[in-house]
Amino acid sequence: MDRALFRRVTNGIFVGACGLATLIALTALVLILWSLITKGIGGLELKVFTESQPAPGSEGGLANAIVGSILMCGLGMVIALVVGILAGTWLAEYGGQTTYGHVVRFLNDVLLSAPSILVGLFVYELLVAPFHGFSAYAGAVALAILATPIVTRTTEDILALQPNALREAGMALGASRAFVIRSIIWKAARTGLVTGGLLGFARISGETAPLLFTSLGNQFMNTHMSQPMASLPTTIFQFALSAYDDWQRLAWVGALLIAIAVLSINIIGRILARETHR
Amino acid sequence: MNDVSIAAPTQAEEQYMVAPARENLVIEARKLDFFYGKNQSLYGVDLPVERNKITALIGPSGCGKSTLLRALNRIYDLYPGQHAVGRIVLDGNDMLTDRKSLQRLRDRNSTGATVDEEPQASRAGSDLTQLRARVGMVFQKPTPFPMSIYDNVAFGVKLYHRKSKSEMDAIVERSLRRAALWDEVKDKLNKSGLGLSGGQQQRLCVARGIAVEPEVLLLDEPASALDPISTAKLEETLMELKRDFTIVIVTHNLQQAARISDYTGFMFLGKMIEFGPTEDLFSNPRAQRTRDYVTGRFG
Ligand SMILES: Nc1ncnc2c1ncn2[C@@H]1O[C@H](COP(=O)(O)OP(=O)(O)OP(=O)(O)O)[C@@H](O)[C@H]1O
Ligand SMILES: [Mg+2]
Repeated sequence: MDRALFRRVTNGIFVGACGLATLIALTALVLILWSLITKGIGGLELKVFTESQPAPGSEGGLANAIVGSILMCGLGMVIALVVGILAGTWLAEYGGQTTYGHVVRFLNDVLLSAPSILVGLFVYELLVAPFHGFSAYAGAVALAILATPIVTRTTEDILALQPNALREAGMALGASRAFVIRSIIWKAARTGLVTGGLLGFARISGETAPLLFTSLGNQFMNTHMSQPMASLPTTIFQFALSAYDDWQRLAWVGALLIAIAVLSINIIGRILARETHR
Repeated sequence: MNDVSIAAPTQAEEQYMVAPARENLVIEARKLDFFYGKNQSLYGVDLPVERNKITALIGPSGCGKSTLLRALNRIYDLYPGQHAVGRIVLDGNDMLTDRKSLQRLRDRNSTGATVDEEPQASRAGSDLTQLRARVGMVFQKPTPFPMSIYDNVAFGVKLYHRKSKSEMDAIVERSLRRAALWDEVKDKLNKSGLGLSGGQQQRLCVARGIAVEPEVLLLDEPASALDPISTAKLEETLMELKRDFTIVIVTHNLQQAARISDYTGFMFLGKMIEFGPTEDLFSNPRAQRTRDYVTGRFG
């Protein structure tokens, strides 16, 4: 009886502590969202999407930054998904236990926690300095380098979770190893692969430092990837630090847009993953 | 079961073999050793399998039944540390003829530990996908693929043949009927195979296995997760399938082995202790170990 009571009490304390921690984390999140919404929603007008960066004191929007972010994040994610999923698959299914595999995994883990400013400098040395110019390509590559390790890691982890019985069953029917991976294992792991992509996207969508070194920014609308390009984070950075009220207001709008984009892509990704899983 | 550790695996055992006529065999393991890394778990096992018969493998847990099945279609090749030494003969063709396997067989023969025939090269053994197309396998735990019921059954067929939609429909229906699953799923062929019950999933795996029309179907305790009704259905299915296929089944259920099989092999600690017609083996076992096991004095 005593022990049962003791267990109930410790259990209660533990659950309470967990609940409290969750509450703290959620409160922080809600506060952030709340300040974003209250400060950003007022400036969320149509011209934010249709007009480019204004001169201080005049009317304008964020169109050039939005387009830039979509282009660079898009290209960055394509690179990261292709490289990351293939690398993660190789680690989980083929070479993960070889020396080379261990080295690759270790380096990937190092990259996973590499400061993004270093990645920016690296790409600057690699793609900006030699070509004497900032470019959106360089920006996309920097973002890809940041997202790839995340995609690689989640892909390896999620594939390792797939039961060997599934691989054996596929091979027992006469399918090759590669075909089993493509048509069965990837399918079984789809939700996890989508999660990896979403985590990668969430990481890069707000990155500022690496873009300052690579795509720089551009006050005009530009869709040429070989030239400097605006992006939401760099524009927010520039506007938030400025002394102009309307620039600061636009910075809040930009931050709200990033939050909305991450949120909605997460939701869409989850729904897609669930639908196809049925 | 508790005397398992006492008997050393190298100790000589009484072994008895009443093999079917050689010309009726479809697949055969000869003097097969199997290694999980350094651990040997099969010792010179012979398994002759007659065409269009059901051959049952029985024996206490851990005696190597699953290992033997996994060797027959070389599914162990998936794992670099595992290998078999000996011969697996499918329709007269040796299937263990890749360079490494031949080398191991030569090494074994040269040590004189087991007298064996000379290894002979044949191209058949190098084509694993061909082997697996001819020797299908259904595992102990149901393993539906994460796709629709229809696609599950069509999966293997698509690997080998390009079929029109109507041909494929026919194959899927026939396979599901043969596996006694058609009536339960005919209205939801496009639903995921993962949504079926455990017993239905197992029959789906049987349907998937027979859709490719293998010559031999290996079944590893297919009924262990099934309720009595599903088990009875599955047994009925197997008796039916025997007309077109050859079946090797591992089972812990002695009554089941006695009910459905034509030949039975009793394994113990990695050796084939006794092999013969099911009736003989159950009514008149020759080896003491077999007698103990089938009369239930053991494991
Ligand atoms: N992956 C593995 N690695 C190492 N040893 C293994 C592995 N799988 C099986 N073994 C060993 O090989 C021996 C035979 O195992 P196997 O699975 O073939 O037995 P079984 O007769 O199928 O038993 P059960 O009736 O419990 O399924 C056992 O001693 C087991 O410990
Ligand atoms: Mg087993």
